[in-house]
Amino acid sequence: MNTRRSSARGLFLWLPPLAFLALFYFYPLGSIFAASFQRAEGGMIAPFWEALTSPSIRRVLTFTIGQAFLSTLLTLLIGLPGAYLLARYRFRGKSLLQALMGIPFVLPTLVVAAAFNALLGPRGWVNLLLMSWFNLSQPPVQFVNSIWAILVAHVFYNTTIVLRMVGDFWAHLDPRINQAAQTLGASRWGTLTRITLPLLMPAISAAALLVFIFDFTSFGVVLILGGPRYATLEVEIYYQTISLFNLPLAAVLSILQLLCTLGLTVIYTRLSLRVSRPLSMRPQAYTQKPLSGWRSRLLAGALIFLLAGLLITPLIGLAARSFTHLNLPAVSSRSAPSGLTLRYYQELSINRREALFYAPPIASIGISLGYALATVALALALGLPASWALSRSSKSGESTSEALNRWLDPLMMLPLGTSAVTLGLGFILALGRPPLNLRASPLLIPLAHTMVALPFVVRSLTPALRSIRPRLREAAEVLGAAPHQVLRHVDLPLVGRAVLVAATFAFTISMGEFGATALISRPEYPTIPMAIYRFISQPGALNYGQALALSTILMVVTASGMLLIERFRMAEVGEF
Amino acid sequence: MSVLRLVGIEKSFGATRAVRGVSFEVAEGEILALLGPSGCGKSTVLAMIAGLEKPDRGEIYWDAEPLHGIPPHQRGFGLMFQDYALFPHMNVYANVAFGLRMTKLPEAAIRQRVAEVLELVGLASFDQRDVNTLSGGEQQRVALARSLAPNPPLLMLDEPLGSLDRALRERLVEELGAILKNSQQTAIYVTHDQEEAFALAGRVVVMNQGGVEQIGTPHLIYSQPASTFVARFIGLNNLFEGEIQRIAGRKVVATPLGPIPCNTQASGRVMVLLHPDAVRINEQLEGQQVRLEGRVVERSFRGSLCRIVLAINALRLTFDFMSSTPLPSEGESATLVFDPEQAIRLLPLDDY
Repeated sequence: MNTRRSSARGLFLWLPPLAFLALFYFYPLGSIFAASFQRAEGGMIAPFWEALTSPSIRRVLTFTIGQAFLSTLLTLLIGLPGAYLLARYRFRGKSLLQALMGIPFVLPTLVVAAAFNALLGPRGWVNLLLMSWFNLSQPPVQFVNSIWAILVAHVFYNTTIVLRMVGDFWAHLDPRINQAAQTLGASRWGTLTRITLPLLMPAISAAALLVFIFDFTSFGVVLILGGPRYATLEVEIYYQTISLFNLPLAAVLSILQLLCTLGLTVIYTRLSLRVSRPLSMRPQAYTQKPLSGWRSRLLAGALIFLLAGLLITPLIGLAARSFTHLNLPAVSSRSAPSGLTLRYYQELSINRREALFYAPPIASIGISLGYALATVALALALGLPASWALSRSSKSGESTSEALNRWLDPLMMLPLGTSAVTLGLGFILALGRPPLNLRASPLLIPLAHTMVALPFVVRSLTPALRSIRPRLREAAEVLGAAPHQVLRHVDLPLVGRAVLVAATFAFTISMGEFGATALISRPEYPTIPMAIYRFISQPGALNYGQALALSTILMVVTASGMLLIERFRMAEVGEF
Repeated sequence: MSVLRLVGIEKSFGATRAVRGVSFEVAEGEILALLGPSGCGKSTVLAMIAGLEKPDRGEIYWDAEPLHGIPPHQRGFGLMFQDYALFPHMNVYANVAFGLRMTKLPEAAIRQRVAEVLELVGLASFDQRDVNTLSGGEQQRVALARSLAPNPPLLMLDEPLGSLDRALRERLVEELGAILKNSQQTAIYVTHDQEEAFALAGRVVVMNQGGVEQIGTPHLIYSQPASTFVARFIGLNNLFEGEIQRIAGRKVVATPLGPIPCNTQASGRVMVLLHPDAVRINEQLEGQQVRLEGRVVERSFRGSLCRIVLAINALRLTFDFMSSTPLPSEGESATLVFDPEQAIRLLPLDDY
């Protein structure tokens, strides 16, 4: 094969995604850098030093790290036993349980916040029940606006990561390694500490690090469930941008956060490389056994109950609450009967607050759909060539494109390590003025969403493209297929499912995206998450009900997307 | 004096009866082979002796003490796994030292013992190597060293050569045999390859579908297979049905080859095995003999041996003769000569 020509083709494939990254990632990021130095009379370091020494920013930083640390610890505490259960045992309903447990991870933060509100908020199920049982006039559980709300929501969100990453790895570990240790005299405890944990350590630390990164950059959960008392760096950037319009400080904070997350992401990438190290992996059917004996059944039952309780109850609570009309003696003097209602959904199509919305809330669904479809188109148009180029690298000999890919692969993942709010801030700073003024463009939000979704799209397409064995292509070529025919008859059919998965990823991510959207969306075109946010920050039972109704709709959309992805994913070991 | 005794072991996984009523004994210093096709339950028997699985019924005794309820790590037996199950996060030294560390031996003694067993398996300079970079044969020897290091009173080897290519396997069988015999190691060797079993073991237990078909020395099993399954499994395929009859006061077995005199207590229908080792072609034999005319339908050269397929009365019989002897060509007729006393085995008729 002509090496030079093929590496030129590699470069050509890279061109669109690279141009996109340059314009909509590096340029906004550069603008943030520029903005952070705007008032730097005392040198480059001065603005950072100023921020770091300010007590209020220090408090934000300490809180951000502290809550992320605690959340990660709690997530591991719950996730590791669950991972063990899923890795080593077969039981009825397991695949259903796994599919259900995957849902929280893809749910938009707004839905999660609304779900916990519906369960534990002042108008949530728990408080309503307690109030009616004990005849209380005030909600007894003060969950919302407490640190616990933040921690629990983070655990809710990220337990899936531990279950997936550690569980998948664990499920493929050869149990005979443990048996070998036992026959050599190691007790159960000895086997756990000397064999299982050291072997799992790369997976556990990679999962923990990823959870930490997500908790560290948490935005929606902290903004809505934490209330005004708690702010992570991410929330602080948002406040500084939207409320105080202190863009230079917001930029400084963004850079600080970016440095932290990039550092952590680099470590994460190293660790996940070690996770994929080929150590005697086994198919799951071989490593798993049915639950036997009442003790293991009891423990498994308790664990499943706990996991399902934590991960599913809030979602059911949300859906149920959105159909329930309640009249509290303490809240309202009118005594309309409590019961099932569709009112919150019907209200969505009524434009009640002209000043607040300009359009009926249901319009947000159409707006979100439009943005999501644009995002899917953009993300595929950019992700396909990039994944194509990446997958070709594994062929031998092409050292130039090999080197190119080694550099470009992590580059494509960079947006993953950049928080959405930072991205939003960058868009505000860079794309709101010439030479590239997109402030009024309807493409602004799809562009931001594409940036968030692109790493996921590339990550799900590349393994599928790689799985096409070169032999198949060669066989087709020998049988007389021209290159474009190989593409049409061999590659595309094989890649079809992966494209579907990638498109669904892009779609659900766009539907639920809140961090970047919160900064750049225009008030007259609210997406579903923006509408939920506005409703939930307004007082009144009707607003609350509509927030829950919209959240339920969004939950159904994103959860179906997730289940679709689960259904069509090819590889047994997933790539995150 | 037997050190290990299995009595009526049964084990089911769900609806599958993996092991049904297995009993045998192992004497001190003996190498016993468990031979059978894959899925015959031999590895499950091993797992139960090691304590990794619990028998549903039956008991396993070690030095006349029942092992029931003793967890694997307190049994002190060595088990070498198929595919070796080396600890991928440890180097060769740490792998071999693992069992010794569990006994809380002082580090100096561990170092000495590890060096000793690595020397024994011929990997003296390998102690700092990463196990993931070793070849199959080297991994196999590390696994052997690891299971030998704690001086287990019983060493079990589960298809230890299964995943290696043929040439390497033949060399390692010899090495393994030498190591086990020199250290007078009591061992159970599980394999599906009768050549390995015959080469290594003092006695062989042939298993099929979870049950024991035959126990005996390799020579006994080869010369007197107890069932058609055993005969077929070790490659004796000249089997045909017959019926015991009494003709003129003498017992004969009526076969498609014609009546063959035999000395037996059996009666009725039987399976007849014509053992290829006692058969000659186009030769004269001393003493009582049967001579049969047939036609050579196939002759294929296999190195030192030459395979002849002979058609006699609609039966096709296969024999390997030394290539150096004069042999008939394809299409020629030939005379098969054998002493029924030596060549005929009568086996119970079954469904195989």
